[in-house]
Amino acid sequence: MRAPAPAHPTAPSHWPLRAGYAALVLAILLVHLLPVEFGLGGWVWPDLLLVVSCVWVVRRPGAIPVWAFALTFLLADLLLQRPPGLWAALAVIATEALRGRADDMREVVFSVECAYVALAITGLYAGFAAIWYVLVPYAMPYGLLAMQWLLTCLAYPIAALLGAALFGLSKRPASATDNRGAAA
Amino acid sequence: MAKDRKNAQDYGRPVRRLLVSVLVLALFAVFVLWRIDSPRVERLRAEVTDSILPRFDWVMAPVTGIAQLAGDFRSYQRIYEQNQELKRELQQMKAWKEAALQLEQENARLLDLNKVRLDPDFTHVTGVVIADSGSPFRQSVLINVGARDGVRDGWATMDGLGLVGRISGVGNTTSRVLLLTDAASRVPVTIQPTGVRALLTGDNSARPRLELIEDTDALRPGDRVFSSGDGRIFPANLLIGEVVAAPDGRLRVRLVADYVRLEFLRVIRSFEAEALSEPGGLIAPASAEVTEGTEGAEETSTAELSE
Repeated sequence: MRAPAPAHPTAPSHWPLRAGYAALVLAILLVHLLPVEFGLGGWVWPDLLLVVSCVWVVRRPGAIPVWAFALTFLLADLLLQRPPGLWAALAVIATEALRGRADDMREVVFSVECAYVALAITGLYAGFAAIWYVLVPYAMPYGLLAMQWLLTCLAYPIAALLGAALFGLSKRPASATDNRGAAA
Repeated sequence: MAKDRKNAQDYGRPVRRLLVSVLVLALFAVFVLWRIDSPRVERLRAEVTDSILPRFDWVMAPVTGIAQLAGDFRSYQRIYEQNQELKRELQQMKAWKEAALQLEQENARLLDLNKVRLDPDFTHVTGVVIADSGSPFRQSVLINVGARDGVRDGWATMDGLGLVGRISGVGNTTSRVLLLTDAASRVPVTIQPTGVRALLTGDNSARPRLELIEDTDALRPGDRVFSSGDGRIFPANLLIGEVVAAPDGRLRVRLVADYVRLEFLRVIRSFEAEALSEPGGLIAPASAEVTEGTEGAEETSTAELSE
């Protein structure tokens, strides 16, 4: 939200990252909507949109403003036949929680970072399932939802590594004790 | 260092937190609005879909084509066994064809004797599937005909063989077909030859369940399932599939429509049937409308008899 320059003195412009995020969102939505493979036979994809958003918000908290996440997820709700607004609201809460921790997460090891993100994702899925159970009139296949939750948590480390490789979304060391991302 | 940065941002934080809360509340408000006034929000959804998806046709069409090509290729690999299978089926079909021809002649004779008029409003408009629901939790497809082509909410949709679902959500150039397998789909059905009625209930699996069955003992696997027209959601007598017994003991329906490859869908134009709202015309004597009323009643009773 703030101007990027004071928050990250060494940061180059955020625009390439923003463009990369937008392109990924578009690609993910279109792939989901392709009319092939109706029903994967009891198998689901991880929620890639959420994973990508988590990578971006954890690694570069200044790059994507909160309203852009809100719009993205609301659009996804509308296009992907979810009840509009519910998933979007929960996803905004989850990404904001991660954004608040982003500075701390830069100083912890990778596994702890993954655990933080998994916690946020778990909260999101738990809230979604609970609110769905109470308010939405038709049944949700909770087994599938649980499988998606697990896969989404597992997908984060992979996505983070890929993001570092492809988009330069590496962790920048905030202190000398952590030189993990020093090469980038 | 991180601490310093936090301190520098501190002055802006309450404002930002407020804005985020407002944003989240607004999103929840959309959800609550959807829960209260679902049709309006669903119409908005249809319009958003309608304005976005056709623009990406140029990306999606080739990718879809390639994916289907790959599927075709996989099926070429099994071409020998398929050929054998087809030859066997052809033998059986020849016998069936004879039987069918005889039955057709007999049926035509009987229909002629009864002077049954099949519904004259049965015309259809055909659309191509351009996208699916995009989510493993919902079963629906988007087709490229919409309000522009006169499509309306609730109309039945078939592929060449059987019922696929019903229209739920119409944009100007696109409309969404809620498949029979979706968890929100409920269709009243009749099971032949016994004529038992039941409710076909989607549960997100490939074979929807039969529920509220009038007489479970009368059903046998292999019985054919048709739409019953109850509740005037669908026209009656559209073929849906056949009864199968699931391993868990429940009765399910194997759909006759080819759900693996939905490409061209027919939307059946069905205009609302005349409702008999007043019994007065049928029973009560002597008023000006009685003659008209009885005429209408006769027609309906013939239609019911013929079912």
